[in-house]
Amino acid sequence: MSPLNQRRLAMFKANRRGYYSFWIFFGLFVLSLFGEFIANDKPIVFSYHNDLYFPVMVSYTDRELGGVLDTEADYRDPFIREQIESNGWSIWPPVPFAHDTIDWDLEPPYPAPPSSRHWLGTDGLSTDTFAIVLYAFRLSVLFGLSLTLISSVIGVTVGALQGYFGGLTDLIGQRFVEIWAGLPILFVLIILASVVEPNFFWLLAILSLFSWMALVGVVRAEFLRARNFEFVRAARALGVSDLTIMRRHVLPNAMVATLTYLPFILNGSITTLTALDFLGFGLPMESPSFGRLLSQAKANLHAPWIGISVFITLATMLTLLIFVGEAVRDAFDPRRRLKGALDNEPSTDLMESRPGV
Amino acid sequence: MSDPFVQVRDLHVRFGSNHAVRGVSFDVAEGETVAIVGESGSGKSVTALSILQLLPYPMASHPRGSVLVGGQEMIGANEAQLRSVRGSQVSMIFQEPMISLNPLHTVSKQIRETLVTHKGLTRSEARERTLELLEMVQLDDAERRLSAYPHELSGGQRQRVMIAMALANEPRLLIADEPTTALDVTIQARILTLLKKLQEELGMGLLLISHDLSIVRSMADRVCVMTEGEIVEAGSTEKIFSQPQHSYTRHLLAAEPKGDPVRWNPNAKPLLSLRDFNVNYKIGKGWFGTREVFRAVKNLNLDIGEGQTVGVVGESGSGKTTLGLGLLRLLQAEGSITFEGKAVHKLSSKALTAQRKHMQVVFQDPFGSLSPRLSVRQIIEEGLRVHEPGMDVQAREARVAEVLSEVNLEPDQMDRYPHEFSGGQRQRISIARALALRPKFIVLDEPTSALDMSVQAQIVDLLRELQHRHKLAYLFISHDLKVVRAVAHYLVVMKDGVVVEQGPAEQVFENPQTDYTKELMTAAFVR
Repeated sequence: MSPLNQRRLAMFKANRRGYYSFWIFFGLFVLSLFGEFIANDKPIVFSYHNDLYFPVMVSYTDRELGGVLDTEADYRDPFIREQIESNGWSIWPPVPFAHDTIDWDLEPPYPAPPSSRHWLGTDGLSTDTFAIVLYAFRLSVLFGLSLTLISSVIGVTVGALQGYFGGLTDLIGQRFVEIWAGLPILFVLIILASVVEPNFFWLLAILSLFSWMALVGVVRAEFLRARNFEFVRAARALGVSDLTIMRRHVLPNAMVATLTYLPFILNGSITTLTALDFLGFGLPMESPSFGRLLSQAKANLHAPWIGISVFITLATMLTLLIFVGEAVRDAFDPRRRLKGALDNEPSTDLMESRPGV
Repeated sequence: MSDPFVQVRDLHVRFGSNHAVRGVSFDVAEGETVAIVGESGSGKSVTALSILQLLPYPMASHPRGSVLVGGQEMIGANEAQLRSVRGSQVSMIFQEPMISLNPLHTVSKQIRETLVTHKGLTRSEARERTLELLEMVQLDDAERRLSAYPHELSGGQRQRVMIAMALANEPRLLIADEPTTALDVTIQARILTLLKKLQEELGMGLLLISHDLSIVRSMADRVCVMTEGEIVEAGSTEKIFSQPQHSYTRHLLAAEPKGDPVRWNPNAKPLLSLRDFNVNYKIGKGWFGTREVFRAVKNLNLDIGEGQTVGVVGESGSGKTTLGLGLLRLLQAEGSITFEGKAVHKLSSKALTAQRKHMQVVFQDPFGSLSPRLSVRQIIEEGLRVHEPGMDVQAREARVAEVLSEVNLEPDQMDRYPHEFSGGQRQRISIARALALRPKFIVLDEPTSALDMSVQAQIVDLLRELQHRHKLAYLFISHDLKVVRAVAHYLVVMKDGVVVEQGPAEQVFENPQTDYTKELMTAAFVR
């Protein structure tokens, strides 16, 4: 790692709030990736007639477990349970419900308040809130990460081309971005939602169409500035091709601004998805989503556990990301100095901080 | 006689672990000019700023020492005490007139501010006094300039406004931190004359911070030579310049670029020639209709022979850098460029890439011209990767090592990053990058201007040595006639995009024909 990056890493660590936020967020995300082992309507592993079965990974039919149907076994069905328990044993995840498991055994009224059976209560369909929150967290973060990745790649490319070539390219690009940014995204989404059945990838594609503009301005500005740097001129004088110059000499300069923005874009992506789901233009009904849970909370104001669960989860997630974002910004800030670190810069540096007389 | 106005005793300044100033003592009396000379990083600016306690505290600290201004201790003084001294008893002018003025305020407002703060004048009184001050600093057309914004003024005019601001409260000491470094030579001379005159009229003390020995020599009564945070020698100007005692002072005095250009055979084959060469910038917007055009270089004709150095001199805005970039086709240019009989101006972009191998460039700013994220090896081999794609790793490494040792750097430093090198070393790396392709012609765009004096001389020596060894032709662009005299065989003097005078260097230096050239020579050599 170059000394510069070492310094940045040290800087990132020096922002303790952001550093711990990063690990907490990362830990939560990794945990949620293994959500099937935490909240599921299937055992993690069971033994049946002395064979080991892993229903999370493999789908077993009802018939295989002594039933009559050729569809996948319903492990919550008393008959199947009985079959497994009498012919072996099973280990269940700590929460024996998935995000779409309807708990038929629960007495109405729904939504049911928190209990030892449902830690965070259930929603109006008698579905476990904790399971929904867990799966919704995973889906939101994955969606957010994908959207951030796609929009940054497009945004950086467009910004880079505009900034580097300038002139007419820049003019056309800028006007296009302005017009494009003027489109009412929500209406376009509503129209598109009526044409196609929105799923994860459709939503990703549609939102990508509009979210790539966030980075164009910053990257363009960096490229406009950097294209007149002497080392860029020197590279052109050496006959290095434009693409290589952009990649090797200019892009690293723009990456600082880009990386600083990323956590905030991620945050924005997650919020957008939640908002769309809340309005009912988001993911299909069967996917777990914060937005839909929120609208349930709105419909069931007498069941505050739903709203509170979503609120705390969303607020925690977004706050952690903001803290990480701040730490990243600190890490890339050349003026910020490590606390207690030594200042070796010569006196010429003072011009900037010098007040007038 | 009473005590000198400013007494600095055993001053220390620390920035963290960096001990920037170590035990500096000097006095400045009213009516006296004291100069602190030193190279960058010697602590001279920090010393000056300590007098007014303008360092970024608490990052900076004074472990020891005392600064008495008019009998009052400045170190540890509270804000109110400091304010009563700053701007009214002691004021300061800075190097960069471009950024020292607030771009959003008019000239009169900036000056009035100090008058109203410190003197409590009314608006109309302040206006009158402002006008008086502007006339004192000989700002032409002062009345009209009152309502001008900084961007409407030239560098020299801005520096005059800065001086007027500094003088507004009749300070007893003026600290001038490199007051003319950012200005053109002819303007430098005028500003210095003005400072000298004002000092005599107002009887104030002048503390001049400079790296430029010729300025110091013409201005100062006493000189303190500073290096690495210490004053190594102090004394009257005459004594310091005639009988320097300390080895560093002698080193500084000997550092001015001198010597003669490499011997050159006037019958050498022509290498590059420009005919009716023009570079235009399109300014003025508009989709249709005629565009306004700024002609940065007008109808230039020039021949450069193999192994010849052509010096291009002129002040900022004269088009000399544009000429260099234009003839390398880094900027759009009109007219013909012939290189070894090849019409470079007609080459397609692909052929041009191949041609770049023979024509290289070294830029002024040793910090800006090297990509901070690439190692020295990557920087130097970049051109080789383009022009000699067949070269294997060992051969490339050998070439990088070879050019590094040619510019007197250790080849085993090739995996370091630019920020680990000093300004002079970085400039050597830039030269090595240009040399790696074995060009025949190099454009040197102010290659020494951003360097300390002693390093300048080394770079000039290096350039001459390389020219001698490789029969290189140079287009040496500079505003510094002393440097140009040491390298150039042929001289082109430019002003506002036009060649004012051109001819064999000796002839132009000895016997300048035009008034402008004469003025340049006077400003540069006779102070």
